This record gives sequence, structure tokens and C-alpha cells, in this order.
Amino acid sequence: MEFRTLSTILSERMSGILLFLAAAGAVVVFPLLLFVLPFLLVPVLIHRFIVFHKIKYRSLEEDDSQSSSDVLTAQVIDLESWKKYKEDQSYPMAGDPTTANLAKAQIAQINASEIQEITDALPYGASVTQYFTDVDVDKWVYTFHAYALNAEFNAVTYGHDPAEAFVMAKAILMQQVREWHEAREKGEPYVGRANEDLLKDIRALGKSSKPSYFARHAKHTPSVLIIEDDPEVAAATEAIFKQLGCQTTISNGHDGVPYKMSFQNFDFIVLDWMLGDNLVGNQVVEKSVKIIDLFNDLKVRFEHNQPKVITYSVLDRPQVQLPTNHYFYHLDHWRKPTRYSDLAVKASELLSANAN
Amino acid sequence: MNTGATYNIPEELKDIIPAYLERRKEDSAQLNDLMAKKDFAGIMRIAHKLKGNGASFGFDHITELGDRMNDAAKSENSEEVKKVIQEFENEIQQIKFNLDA
Repeated sequence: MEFRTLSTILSERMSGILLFLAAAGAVVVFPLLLFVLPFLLVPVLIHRFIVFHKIKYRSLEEDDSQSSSDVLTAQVIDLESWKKYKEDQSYPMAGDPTTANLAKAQIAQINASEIQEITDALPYGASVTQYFTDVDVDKWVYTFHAYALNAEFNAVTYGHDPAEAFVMAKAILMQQVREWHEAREKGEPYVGRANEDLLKDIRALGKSSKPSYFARHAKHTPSVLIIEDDPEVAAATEAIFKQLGCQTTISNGHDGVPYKMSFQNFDFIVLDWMLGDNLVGNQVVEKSVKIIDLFNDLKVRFEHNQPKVITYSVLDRPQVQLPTNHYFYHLDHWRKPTRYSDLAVKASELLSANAN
Repeated sequence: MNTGATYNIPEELKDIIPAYLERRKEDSAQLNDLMAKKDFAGIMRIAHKLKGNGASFGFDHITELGDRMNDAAKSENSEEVKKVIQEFENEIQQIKFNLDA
């Protein structure tokens, strides 16, 4: 006869119970994991997906918070609707627009943070040019161009100060971003155009006889060398700079211009990239650098006071590279074709930003 | 024939428009010479210039023709180049006619 202790009996029973519970648990939990858990996880994944896209297109999401009337105003903008828009809005950075320091502070703030919201919403790798110009007393123009594969975005707006001009441009550009998304879904290229009605008004502003910001603040008359082989284009460019109060010199690129560049003092050089007869802009700069290298006094002068070169071409910025050198600073690239009025705005901005 | 076409010629440039159009006529003659020699690189150089300067003077169609001419010359498509050169010549004549009218 076998004698078992109470603990042995209990132990055997407990093992059986535990075995039973484990088996039952497996039968219940396994199907639960297999069929129920995915249903619980799917909403979580969808939420994560939405959050990701909100981050990716956060500018769009933020802009969605605006009222639909704002978007419509941006879409059908003309001078009257712009004025109405301006009256309805409050601009947190607006203040005394005649104070240059305030304007500078506004531009710095926009460049430091607000422009990022727009560029984040643009196609990856978009090439962006944007600048402010004071075309008249208390009147600022904001110009924005962005180029990407199969997409182009443009805005030209104005206001009493840079912040005011920027707010309007932002509304227009965000509308263009929406239109671009729609075009992209259809596989179509997109071109967002600056508003022509507003441009006409800006052209009228540009004809004002009041001196520009640069003319009021510059300590000396800036000198500009225009290197352009088409005489009429050169004359048109010269007319703009003369109107802005600059001393101008024209060269067609084939008249010993490297010597002019080396022995004369120019604040700015507007360099057409394709100069005819296979002469390219960088060759002109190369020759000039070689001449300067021969003279110590020229080397010292150019190292301390580099002329600012603005290249001008139908080619994109990455295709236009000045040779590496210590004497000429490649400040900007203006892309052709450019309307005369836009060129005037760019020139005015150039001088305003570089007044000394 | 006046087609009634309008050009956005900037007021400041009106004085130099005749010289600009004369220069384009020279371009047209040069383009025909280059086409006869099948010098597509030379055609591209002029096309490049037309593309760049037309819109500055308010002649958007010249810019557009320059762009098309550049593409056709790049692909060495003689027929298309000839066609665009012809369109360019017509456009210059048309502009002169419209401005004189």
C-alpha cells in the first residue's frame, strides 16, 4: 500500500490544475493574439501615419487652419482685395515702417523662421530665391521664386513693411502648394504664377521719382560694370542701374574687359554668362584673376574689397560657377528670362541689401 | 496685317525696341546660314540668347521660340529647327508691323 503525504497529493493536483490552465490559456489567448490584436493595432498605425504626414507637410496643415475666405482672397488677389485683406489682418511685426532697423529686424525674423514653413512645403530639392525690396518710401516688395522638377512657384507682393508683404506672399504660395499637390496627383507639371494685376501696380510704384532706400542711405555712388554682348539688353540693364543712381560701365565681353575688371573699381559686376563667340563668363573672371595675381597692390586691394558678381543667364544656378578665387565674390545669380520690371526689382534689392 | 497682338513693352525701353528688332533680323539671317551648315551648336547659342532676352523687352513669344529652337537644335532635328526659324522670322515681321501700325 502506498502512503502519500498531503503535500504530495496537493502538489499533484496543483500540477494538473496549472497544466489545465496553461492549455486553456493557450486556446483562448492564441486566437486572441491572432485575430483581435491586429484590429487593435490598425488604428494606432493609422494615427502614426497621419502624425507623420502632419510633420512632413506641417505648413499645409497650419495653413488649413486659416479660414476659407483667406484662401480665396489669395487665389483671386487684385489690388482691391489685397487692400481688404490688409485691413482685415493684424500683423504682429508691423510697426513704424519708416524705420530701417525695424524693417531689417522683420526680414531677419522672416529669414530665420517663417520662410522655413514655405520651403518645407515645396518639392524636395527646390531651388529658392526670395528677397525684399523697398521700391518707395514705406512700400516694400517681396519676391519669391522656386524651381523644382516639374514645378515652379512665384509670388510678388507688397506692403507697408516687409512683414506685411511676406504675409500676403505666404498665402499665395500656400495656395500654389495646394494646386501643385493636385497637379502632381494627376501627373501634370505645375507653374504657379505671380499675380499680373499686382505686378502692374508694382511697376507703377517703380516709376516713382522718390529716391530708393539705397539712394537715401548709401555713402557713395555705387559703380556697376555690365558685361553683356547684346547691346540692347546691356542698354536696358544700364537704364535700371542709372535710374537707381549708379555709375555704370558697359562691356560686351570682347573689349579687354578683364583689364577693366582688374584696374578699375567696381562695386558690382553684372555678368552675362554666355557672351557669344564661345566666350563664357567664367573665362572673363579667370583672365582677370591672372592679371590681378601679377600685381601686389591689386592683390591687396581686391582681397580687402571684393567686387560682388551677379551672374545672369538662362542656365540654372548650379550650372553657373565662378572659378575659385580671392578677388571676386559671387553674390547672386539672376535667371533669364526676366521681365524688365522684375529685373528692376532685383537691382533695387541688390543695392538696398548691399548699401554701404 | 495687324493681328491686334499686344506686347508688354516697358515704357523705358520703347526707344531701343527698333534697334532690338534690327538685331533680331541679323540673328534671323545668321540662323539661316548656320542651318545651311548644319551648325547646331551655333544655332543653340543664338536660341539661348533669344530665350533669355525676348521677355525682357515684352516679347514673350520670342522667348518661347528661342526655347523651342534650342530644344530642336539640341536634338539636331533639322526640320523642326527650320520650322522654328521660319516662325521666328514671321514673328519679327509681325511685331514690326504691329508696332508701326
